[in-house]
Amino acid sequence: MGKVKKNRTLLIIPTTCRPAEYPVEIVRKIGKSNKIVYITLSKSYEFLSVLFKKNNLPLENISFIDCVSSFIKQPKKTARVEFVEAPYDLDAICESLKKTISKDCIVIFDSLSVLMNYGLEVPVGAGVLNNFAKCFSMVLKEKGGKIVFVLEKSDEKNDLIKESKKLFEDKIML
Amino acid sequence: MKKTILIVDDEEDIRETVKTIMEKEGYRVLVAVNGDDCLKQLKTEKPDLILMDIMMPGTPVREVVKKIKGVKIAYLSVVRTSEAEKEELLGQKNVVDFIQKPFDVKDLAKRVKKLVGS
Repeated sequence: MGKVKKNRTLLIIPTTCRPAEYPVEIVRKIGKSNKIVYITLSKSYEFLSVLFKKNNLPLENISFIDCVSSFIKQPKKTARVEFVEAPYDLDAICESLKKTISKDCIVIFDSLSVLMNYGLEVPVGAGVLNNFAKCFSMVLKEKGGKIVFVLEKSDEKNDLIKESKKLFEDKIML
Repeated sequence: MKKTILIVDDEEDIRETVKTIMEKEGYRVLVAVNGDDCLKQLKTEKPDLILMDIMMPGTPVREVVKKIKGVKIAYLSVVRTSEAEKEELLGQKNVVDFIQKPFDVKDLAKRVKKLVGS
């Protein structure tokens, strides 16, 4: 996946698979041997673990920032998982991410489309995405990491994306 | 007498869509914009079923559900959970179904009918 190697911040747009399937495709394309930090806004860590195991993807290379489980239950402390209280709490996600980023890791942010559902908490016109990216960019750069933001094709023209266009160096259609 | 359904969802589009489906099926429909609004409405209303989005800003649904007494609840969920987590959620008091979004209109109507009758 040359584009991931070349660019620090990318958009990835799944076009051929369903939301419950694209995590597998993305991790496969990125490379099973890369260290991955998977930020999930709509799939629980448990769901993703089961999915990845079923598809023979090695979990030992993947850390999770789970922004779902705290909403639906009292999550138990788990190795390689940071729990964030809400999917729209970008400050908390950033703080967890700074702790989790490791050398040459690839961060998957799944997804901007889910984030858009929280319009009141993530308003258009406030530069929310740019501020979020700024928050962890130094740490990511220092560690040589990359980030890919997942976006559904139907949301490409959303105002939140338009105002953050410069943030994304390239895009991948999956 | 018409059965009453309370729809709790922070997304207006979903509220309106589900409201239209339920009204077409002959139910009396109430709507709430989040968990706190739902609890407020339950002080004066006793619906036969609550269709509740599992992820909404404000008080987490797991806290809201604890405060609801004697009303069936079906979760509407955009969240993907493992089967074990789904079982755990269905084990909560009053929770009777877990409906994955996006849902099929006919399937939703059928499931609601099964839970409360028409």
